[in-house]
Amino acid sequence: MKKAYAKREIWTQAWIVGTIVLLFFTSACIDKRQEWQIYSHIFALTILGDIVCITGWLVLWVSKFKSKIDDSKKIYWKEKRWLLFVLTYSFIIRVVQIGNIPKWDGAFYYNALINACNNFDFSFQQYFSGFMPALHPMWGYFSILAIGEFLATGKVIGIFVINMLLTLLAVYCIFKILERMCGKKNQRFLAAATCLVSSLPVFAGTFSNCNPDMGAVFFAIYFFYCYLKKKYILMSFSAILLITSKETGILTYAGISIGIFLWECLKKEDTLKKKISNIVKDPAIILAVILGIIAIFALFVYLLYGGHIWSMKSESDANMSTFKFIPSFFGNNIKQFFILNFNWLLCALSVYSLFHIYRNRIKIKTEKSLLGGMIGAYVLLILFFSLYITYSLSRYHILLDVLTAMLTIILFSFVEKTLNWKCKVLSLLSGFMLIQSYFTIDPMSVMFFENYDTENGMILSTASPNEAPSGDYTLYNHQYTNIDVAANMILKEIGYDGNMDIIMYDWYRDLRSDYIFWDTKRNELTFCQNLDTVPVNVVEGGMLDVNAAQHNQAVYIYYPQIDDSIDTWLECLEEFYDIRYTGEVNIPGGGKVYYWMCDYTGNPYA
Amino acid sequence: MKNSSKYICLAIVLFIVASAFFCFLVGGNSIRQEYTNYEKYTIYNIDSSNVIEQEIYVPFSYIESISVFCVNVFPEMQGLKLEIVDEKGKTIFSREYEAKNMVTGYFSELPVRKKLERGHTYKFRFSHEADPAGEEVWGIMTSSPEKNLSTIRKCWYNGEEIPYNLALSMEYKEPSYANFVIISAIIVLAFCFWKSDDYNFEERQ
Repeated sequence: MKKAYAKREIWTQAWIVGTIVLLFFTSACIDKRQEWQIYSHIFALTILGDIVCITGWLVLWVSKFKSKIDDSKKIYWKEKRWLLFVLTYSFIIRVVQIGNIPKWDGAFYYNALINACNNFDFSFQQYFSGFMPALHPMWGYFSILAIGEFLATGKVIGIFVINMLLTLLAVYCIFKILERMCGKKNQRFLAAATCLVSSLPVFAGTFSNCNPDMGAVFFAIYFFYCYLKKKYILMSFSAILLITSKETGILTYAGISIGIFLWECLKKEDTLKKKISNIVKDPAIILAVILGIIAIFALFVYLLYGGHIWSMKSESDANMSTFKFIPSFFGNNIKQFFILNFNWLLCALSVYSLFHIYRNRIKIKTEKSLLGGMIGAYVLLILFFSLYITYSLSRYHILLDVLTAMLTIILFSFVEKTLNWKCKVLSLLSGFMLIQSYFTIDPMSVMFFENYDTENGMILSTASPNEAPSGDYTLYNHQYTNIDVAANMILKEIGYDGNMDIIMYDWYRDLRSDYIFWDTKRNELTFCQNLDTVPVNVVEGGMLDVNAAQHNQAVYIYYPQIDDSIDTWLECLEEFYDIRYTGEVNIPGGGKVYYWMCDYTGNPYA
Repeated sequence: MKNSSKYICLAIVLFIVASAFFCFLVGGNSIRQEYTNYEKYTIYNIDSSNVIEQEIYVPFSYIESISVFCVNVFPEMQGLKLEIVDEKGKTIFSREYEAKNMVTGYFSELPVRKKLERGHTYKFRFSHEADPAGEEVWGIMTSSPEKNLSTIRKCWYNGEEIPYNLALSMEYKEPSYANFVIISAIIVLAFCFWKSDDYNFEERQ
């Protein structure tokens, strides 16, 4: 009976992998249905694959019902109510972001995904180059996102739905990981703990933005879960997706393997022979070696044939994309790891738990091999982000934040206090995290980072002192979307129809007019160009000169956090424009945005 | 269901309803305008026989207030009546604003707080039931159409279309779903995890 169960388990895992691959091809076929004659052989194979896949699922379904083992494993709603609560909670705190469009780098990545899907011709060459935006190895995460994008091209909802499913799956895995790794616990404690991880500001708040760092988080969590549950086929698949999410995914997997390896080496109770045997038998390490060899070989071939890898070499900053210890850069990143977004509370809780465990000589009984892997990934990522000189963006550290929270919870679960007290602590933290996900309320973050008054709150910049405080540097929670909310309201109010200029402080960062359009029917900014859309004619406020005006009307949009004198801008504006009326958008808890509706009066210097 | 659970559910529902009220009405995102160049306006008088009507395209679903620039306002005068008429000609809002609450020579904000159909046009009708013995009449500023709000359409004075528009600005609101969900989620979190030990059945088991 056990053999049959194991066999079915293997088939189920293989079928899940196959289904995901087929979903990619099926959605691509649906998208390319107009060109079915060109790709008829692919269409035929995909349909055949779909039939086999559905048949396989039916067979697995029937065999599951026939099996007696599953009778004892029946899941009742009452037993699972806390897990359902966590899933519902995670869904609700993110679903309100529906309608947001990816911004700054997110807009770049999303536009790259649109292009990759539009140009997809079922060839390996196109797939390889198209799903590699900015030379990041993103085939894994992009392929999963493409399933949604193929079905709803340019409408953002496609990737929103896929990301939501990935998030809910990740939340389920976190619940199950904590269930195995925590000390004294009950379902309520696990729910409070998972709500805390799910509410992390950079995890929940940046959900609607499109970036590969989020993909690395999902696949790392799936990897941990599959490793723990010994689902080795899915673990291998997660590992492949993880290393093809971004370079940091490769690093994460390397960290996990090193951590597991070191844990096996440092075990006191085992002999050397046993240690070597454990290491050689560990599936994560075997897979790491195999994938490592394949990746190095593939990279060698790729570079041999003239390929390039991501490197942002800058003439103005010779240190960019190098490994170097620069105190200001190091300090700024350390602040992000341990202070930003209430991370200082998590760190304080970890220190308290460690101290408590040490003082009371509490023995930690947990899945130590996986704990070693998590710590390995954590340490390696901290070392990398501290010493590799790149932009100081908090979205790079989503996985670090998630690992910080999970490790803190695992330690905290061993503290000898009542579960009720621990639930209260975790839920209080979840509440703080949730508010911080949408509004900046953390006093320590405000104290340690450059902060800007939005006249209705505060926004931070995670930039190093020598970097401009705008764009992706303000993407540490959901508050950055205020600019788009205000822009939507302003363009709706002024009846924008494409026949006027939009003057903004920094058009390139604030409204990517090369990707974004204004839908005159739905009255919203969109990536989806159609008959109702008009171009977003953005003129950079900082370069307002005699050649700037393209139309007789203009709207000048200003938000206070750009930390620039409005009077200077208005003086400059009034040289070329007659101000018709002014307006103000007020987003409670977020910020204020001002606008001036103007008529072009001509060039005074002509 | 136990009595205590009933009270908890009731409390959750009450708090969520309160947060909905706060987020959809009081705490929603708002947009308002303000005029800057007054000198380009002309005045239309409204006495008991005169009515001025302004057609406005409404881009948002909730109007918080409307600001009009009035002159010749004295506290003892009869109030200014505002009516909103929909596309079918049905009056959906009517209210008289007391003169003592308005300032002459400046924009006065008239609270409306009315849900409207987004993307529709409405007629905002201003009238004044003057005291026959009184000599003063209300004056309401108008501006040239090309210098007015983008959402302003035609204007009628005593039923006749005029080449001006009313000098007015609007404040609209949009509900903030995000705020509502966050507050509700915190309420639910608090009630689910901040129970006293009496409710901690699982731990006791």
